[in-house]
Amino acid sequence: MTALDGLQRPDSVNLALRTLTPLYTGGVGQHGDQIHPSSLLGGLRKFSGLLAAAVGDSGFEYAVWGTPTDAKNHHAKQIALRVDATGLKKMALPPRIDWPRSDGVNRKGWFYNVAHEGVLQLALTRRGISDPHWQLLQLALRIQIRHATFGSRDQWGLGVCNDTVLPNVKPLSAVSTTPPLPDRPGLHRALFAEIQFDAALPQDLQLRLQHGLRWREHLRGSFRKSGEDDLRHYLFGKLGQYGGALNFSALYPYGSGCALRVWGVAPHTTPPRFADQRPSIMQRLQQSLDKGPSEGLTGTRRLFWQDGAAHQQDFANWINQLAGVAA
Amino acid sequence: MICFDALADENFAPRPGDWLQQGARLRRTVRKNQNLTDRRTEFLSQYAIANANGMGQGEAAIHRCHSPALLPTGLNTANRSMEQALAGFPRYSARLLLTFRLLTPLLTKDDDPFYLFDNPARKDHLLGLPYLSAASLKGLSADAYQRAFPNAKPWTALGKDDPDRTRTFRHADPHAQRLFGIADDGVKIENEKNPSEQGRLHFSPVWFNNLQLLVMNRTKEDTAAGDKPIQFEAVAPDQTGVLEVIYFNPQGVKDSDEATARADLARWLAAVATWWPVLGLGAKRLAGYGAIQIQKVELQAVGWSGVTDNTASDAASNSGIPEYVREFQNEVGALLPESELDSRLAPAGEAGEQLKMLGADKERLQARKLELQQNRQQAGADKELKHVKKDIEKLNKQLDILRKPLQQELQALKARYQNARKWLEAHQAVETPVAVGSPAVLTLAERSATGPDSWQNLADWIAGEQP
Repeated sequence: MTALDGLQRPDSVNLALRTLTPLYTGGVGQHGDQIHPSSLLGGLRKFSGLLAAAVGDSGFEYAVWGTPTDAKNHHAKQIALRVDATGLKKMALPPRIDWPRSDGVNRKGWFYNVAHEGVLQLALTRRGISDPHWQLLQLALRIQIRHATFGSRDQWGLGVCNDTVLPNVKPLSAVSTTPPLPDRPGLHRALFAEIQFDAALPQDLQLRLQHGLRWREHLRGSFRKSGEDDLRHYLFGKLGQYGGALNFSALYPYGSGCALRVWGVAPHTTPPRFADQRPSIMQRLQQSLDKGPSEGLTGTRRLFWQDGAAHQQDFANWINQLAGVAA
Repeated sequence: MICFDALADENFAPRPGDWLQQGARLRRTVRKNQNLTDRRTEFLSQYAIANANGMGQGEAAIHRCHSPALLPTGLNTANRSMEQALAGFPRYSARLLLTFRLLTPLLTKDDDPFYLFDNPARKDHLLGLPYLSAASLKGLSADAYQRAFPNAKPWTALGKDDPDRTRTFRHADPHAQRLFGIADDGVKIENEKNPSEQGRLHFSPVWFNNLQLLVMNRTKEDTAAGDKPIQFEAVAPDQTGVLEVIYFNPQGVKDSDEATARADLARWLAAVATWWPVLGLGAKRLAGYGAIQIQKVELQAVGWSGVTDNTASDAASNSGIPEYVREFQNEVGALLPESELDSRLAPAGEAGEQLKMLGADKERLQARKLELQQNRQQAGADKELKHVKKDIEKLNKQLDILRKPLQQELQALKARYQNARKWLEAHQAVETPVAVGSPAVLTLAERSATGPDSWQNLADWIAGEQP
């Protein structure tokens, strides 16, 4: 028997996320020169909150992510995030991407500066959350890695990462889900789409970003009917007004070809907006994705489309499939 | 913190490269909220962003807190030699030097009521040097310890509030009680005369050099966009910090044997080795700030068995002469002449070079001034003389700024010198006969390890789990 008998070690999930498209987390000078933990944490918090809202867990956000110190009954986060960016290296992005708009309207284009590529080490450590909340958090993490994005500027192509070793987690049981929280954005209102191309991945990063932006422009263009300005800005974002509901990746390697992903939640605000129009919005997005932009990669492509609203009857099963942990 | 007197002085001119003084100067003119926003924007664009492009976007600027004020001052106790640090400590006392690298910015909130930003980093109020306080480090390590060696009962069942739970926890774990002590927090406990007890661990602050600004912008639920960016001044990442922790073993009292000292220290070290890398240090550590990578550990111990001997230090450890006295003794133990104090503070490095350059400039200008005064009949001499006098005044001001901290340091040095002299005068008669037949020599010895597992490996070794 020694003095160290009984030493308790942390219960952590360790991830090594390899960037498939550059990772950007902003900064004081809106420059991607450093990786900022708050951007990554905000994304994890948001995404896990979407899953919790979808399974009707109203206590998740408070219990896991804590509150500001000025809140009533405030408490600290019950998990800890560790960020180790030593495996990432800084890379210059094309300063500006643009091409002439088909309707002749002038625009400024998309501006970038620097971002990171390589391997990002993340660790999430339990500090006191319950087993069901730990399970939800890990399921959310798996879905975010497999189908969504990390960091900022993910509506402009950045932030797709993968990890070959995802955390082991039990599948969600159908009995553990209750009706979604009303008026809260959740994965029951999410869409995940991946477009897979047989064509080889362009070597030029500018081209990879440009392809993603063309798909974004194409989908955004399908909401240009009279009176749709506010809806379009709500879905695709507008500086100083809305953060976008939809995110578009740049092209990334996939098998022998390449792919890009589109994901989002609509409505994505509290209170929700345009909720009654959701079915038609989703239909239009799916049709636009099917059709694709006129200026795109040539060759065969396949669309994988998933809408949370279509899985209300088998929701737990759908979540498990998204997470890759189907029972 | 810039003192209010300096801010109130109309003639207060911040040094061009000094971020802290510039920020204080800008804050001085603020009268309403809009002013504050404008001044912050001005500061951010001028000082916090480097190599900005046409849109004002650029890298986070690093503010290096090097200045003449940071000449060796004795603040960084981790820099002391083993002999200096452990002189006079009782048998089985030990010192740990834990070296780590910051992976992400470290937030250490200061209490500065007159700062340009709401979240300043904690800095030494005289020198402007950022640090993580000893009190924070004690708290962070106590938290790690409670996680590493938890009570059988859940934390919330240990008492009605955190001070109460902490007390219960430490009473139940003798290692924790010895390491961290018991704070009474003003409570009166039935049947306990004096509930407080001093801990054996003594922490020192960890000092850093570089600062940067960060911004956080929380997303609003109704727009999914951020609209209120909040700035934080932070200790910049990619810096190395060294934490000095001393275990004071009160030899002769209960539980002051070597096995107890080793067990206490092994548990403390294992706790921080296990939990700090995942929880981090400082504010917002759970959100990923203040993440550390373990690099190295050094153990220095008094009379421990199994540690490599360092016999050269025997005399120093056994002398019983305080560090502040030995600082002023020569090789034979006599007090140095006071006249040597000035030469000790000769500025070095960048500051020294700057002082030398300014001094040379002043000499050159004074020579020219004399020359002009002797030849005032020459055309243009009066005009040039005027300019030269102005330049000399400017140089004098610059020299004053550079020399001021040195003068403060010299005053502190002289005060220590006087204390040393008094001590020697008082002890001279007593010290002399001790030279022959002194008590058993206490051996100072050290052991070090490097790498991410070094802290844990050393903890295992101290506990006897590793050969």
